[in-house]
Amino acid sequence: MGTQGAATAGRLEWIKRTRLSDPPPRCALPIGLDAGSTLGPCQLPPRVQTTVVNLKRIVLDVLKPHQPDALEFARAVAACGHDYRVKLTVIEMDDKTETLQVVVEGSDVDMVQVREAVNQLGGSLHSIDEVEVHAAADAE
Amino acid sequence: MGFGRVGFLLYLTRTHGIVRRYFVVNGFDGALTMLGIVTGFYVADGGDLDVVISACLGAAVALAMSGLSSAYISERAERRKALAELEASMMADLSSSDHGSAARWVPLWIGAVNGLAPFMLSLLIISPLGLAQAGLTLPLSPLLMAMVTALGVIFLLGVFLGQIGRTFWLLSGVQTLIIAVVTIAIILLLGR
Repeated sequence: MGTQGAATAGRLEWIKRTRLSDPPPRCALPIGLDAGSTLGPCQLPPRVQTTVVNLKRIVLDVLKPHQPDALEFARAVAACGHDYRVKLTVIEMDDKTETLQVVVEGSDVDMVQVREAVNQLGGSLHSIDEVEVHAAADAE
Repeated sequence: MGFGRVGFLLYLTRTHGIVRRYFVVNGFDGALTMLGIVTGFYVADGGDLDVVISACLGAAVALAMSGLSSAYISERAERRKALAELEASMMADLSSSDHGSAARWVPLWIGAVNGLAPFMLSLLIISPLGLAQAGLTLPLSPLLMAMVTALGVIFLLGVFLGQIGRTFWLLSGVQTLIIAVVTIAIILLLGR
């Protein structure tokens, strides 16, 4: 199992804003107009490029009690998003607990919600074993 | 908290069967107690309806409080123990999870069922007494009507048990009815 700590289990969603250029210089005032005029300084918005990194697939190592069962557990995790696909594999069964490998796939998986769902059901997220993210540039 | 949530927490703790069992056991207790009191008054040639109703209501309230408190205390201890064992296995604090919620709420529901079952069935059984007191004319004497109602309730509890155990409902109903009839017979014998 992976050894990534709690820090890596945090929200895997970054938005990196890159300023392509400084704001355009203030326009020179036409002769005869002051700063309070309607033809005052230019307020053109700066051109900004946004890089959105979406979490597409994540593989989790989870320890959970026997109840709720695997089906209920997978349903609860899948209910965190509108297009999530959840594949749950029971790796090991103990007296009161079971170890699961949970694969969550979606267009933009919200790791915070998935973690909350796991904790709410009495589970414990041990590690994140695989992550697949896609970056997409999005100019505003 | 909706019924869906209640059902989920009962499922989580696997206490559906316990709730059902408490309902039947304490409901049967309540019905049989009312039958005994009403039969006792019948053997003693009736009496003032106010006195009968007061005696029955007192017993019903006592049964309700007994059922509520005993089930709540015992189930709370059981749920806490189960949660502590689960937390030890998980090596995590589960107090804010659904398991923690279940450990807090399930004993209350079980206590409520255990207390309300005898109380509601008792009210049903003594309802003919109240109707007679309100001036309604009954086909039988109020005490006999209450006894018949008690027999009906006990029979239905048997039918319910039969459905749970997937046995023939009539046989199960008759079995519980026999217990009630034997109870009446013993009271009648003692009252002579």
